[in-house]
Amino acid sequence: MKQEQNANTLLQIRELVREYILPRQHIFIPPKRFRALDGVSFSLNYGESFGIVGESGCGKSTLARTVLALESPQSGEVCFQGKVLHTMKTKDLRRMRRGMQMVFQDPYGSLDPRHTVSQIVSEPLTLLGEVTLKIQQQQVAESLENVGLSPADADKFPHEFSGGQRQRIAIARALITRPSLIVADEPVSALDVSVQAQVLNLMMDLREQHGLAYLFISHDLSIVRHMTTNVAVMYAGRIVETGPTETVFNHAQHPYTSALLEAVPRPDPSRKRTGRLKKTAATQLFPETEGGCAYASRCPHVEGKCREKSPSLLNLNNSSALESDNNPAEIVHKVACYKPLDSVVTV
Amino acid sequence: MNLLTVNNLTVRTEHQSGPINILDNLNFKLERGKSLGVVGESGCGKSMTAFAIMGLLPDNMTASGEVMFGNNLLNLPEKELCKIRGNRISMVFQEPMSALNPVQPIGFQVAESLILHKNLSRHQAQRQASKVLDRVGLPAKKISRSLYPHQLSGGQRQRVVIAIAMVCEPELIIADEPTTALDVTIQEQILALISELVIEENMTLMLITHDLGVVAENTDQMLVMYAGRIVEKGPTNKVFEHLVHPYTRGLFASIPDTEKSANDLSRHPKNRRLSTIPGRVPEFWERTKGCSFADRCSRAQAKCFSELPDETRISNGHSVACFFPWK
Repeated sequence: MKQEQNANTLLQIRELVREYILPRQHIFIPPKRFRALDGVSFSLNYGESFGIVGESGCGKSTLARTVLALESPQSGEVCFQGKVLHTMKTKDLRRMRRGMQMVFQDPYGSLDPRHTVSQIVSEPLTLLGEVTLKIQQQQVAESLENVGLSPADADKFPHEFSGGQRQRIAIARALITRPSLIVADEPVSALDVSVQAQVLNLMMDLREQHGLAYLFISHDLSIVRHMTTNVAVMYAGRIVETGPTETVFNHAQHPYTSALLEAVPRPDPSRKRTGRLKKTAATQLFPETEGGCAYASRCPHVEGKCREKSPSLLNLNNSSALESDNNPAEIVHKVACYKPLDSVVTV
Repeated sequence: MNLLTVNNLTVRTEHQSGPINILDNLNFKLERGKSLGVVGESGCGKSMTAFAIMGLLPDNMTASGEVMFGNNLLNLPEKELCKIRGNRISMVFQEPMSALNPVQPIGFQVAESLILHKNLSRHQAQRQASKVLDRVGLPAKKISRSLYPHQLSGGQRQRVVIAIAMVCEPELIIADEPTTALDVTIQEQILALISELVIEENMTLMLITHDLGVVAENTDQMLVMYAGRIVEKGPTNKVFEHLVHPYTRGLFASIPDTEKSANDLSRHPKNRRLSTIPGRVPEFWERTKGCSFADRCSRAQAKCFSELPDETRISNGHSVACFFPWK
């Protein structure tokens, strides 16, 4: 897959592969390799929010770390603002990092309990070492105000804040270098429901005010649907379906996407389970497969071909493929499946 | 017939600022063969309610009131309680990894309570345990009984925990956030399994969760808890239909709607804002004299800050603790 670099493209990821070597089982047998990312490609425009969904172990967090160049891929490349990250010198990379920041999942673990809020929030600036202390203090105050905290909070310690406020501090820290991309890895899953909404609203406001792009990683489908314009569904290290969020969620084509959507409990008592239910046997989440589609063993529509060769990510219909040639930044609905659901229904 | 009746259950503890009620005057009933959902945010006392019923409260807390399960469980000596725990009432815990013993094979862990409660020999118990593991979707052919917990996936471990809970055929199963640590597709399997067992083995379920979707799909009755008190209770479908208490309503509004198409709204991001409940859940030592939700409530009036609202009946079985409920 080759796409032209577009002026609007902030982040371009091509055929990313990241493997981990598993512990050796036997001294005479070579250690097994685990492919956490297996040929992932997508692109992200300025000011856009892109969602990544999938179950634990599918490679979401590895993707986040690779995008931020915290881990280097075996093959493939990450292009940020037109420059390939993994071939850069450490010094240049550090400067590049001001453009991308991360918000972590657990606001109790990601803030140093012995640092004041001011130290925490200004740390990215200190590391860049470009501005004086006085300007740093000003920017800290500004950043705290941006996330709805008061500048007076700068001298407090993290334990004086609630979970939602801590996540605001983490966001303030991410904002201080005025990045164009924020990678948010499950930013609200550690928060209470009533506080989640506050943080999500804040993130949406900031996106508008600062023109931020988000790479929003979550296992909560309803939050991803709410927050993002485009989405990719990952399974076992591959993107199995991608496209505009509403299209993917309303017309899911990959059997895995539709299973995932179906599994979300909805606050609607009429969906209550009644009477005899089908027997549910335990299924392995990511069974080992040789060559074939990773989802084949769980897929209800599986056929011979699926077990032999893994399907590649293709445009869903030809008309949208034409559009994408004219405008490479446009994200079209793509699915990696031999039998997308529409074809199953019509047959 | 009521299997479990809880009257005026209050749990107290000592804090620097004096004695504090962790749970405050809980009243509810659970009918045999029905399922009860308990929802609320972290720190509202959901898990404490379960621990109080099981007699597993930490040493620095004392419970008063009545927990009628045949006898009043709060007055039973420890020795009698041990005969009930795991036998007539059992519990499914949140973290399957920490609920299981890492150095014992799963077959033995399931068999253990049979040896303890049913006076079976080791051999008989292991055989019985193996059947129960089959029942929860772990067939002996694929999952050997001599495997250790770390060799299983999260969903499989939670199935083992469920097998342990149901092996003695208890009358009441208390499931404390049984799926919080699991992925959605696995969560669906586990919840389906629990519902299936409850229906087929005629057990009674108390399901503690923070997820309104889980409550809606799996329970007959529900309680909404806030800061150690029950703010709304009733049949699940009625509570969801009316959303009478401002807290229940706020909680409901703050989850993004999966059903509603956001197509036309997406062009105006401002319209997509979620409605929020301002402020945060008070810590238990910050609870005030009046309604503890008053300072976050949009309908609060002077009365709410000074007096505690009593439970008022809305309709058959549905009641709310609020002076100014939504109609």
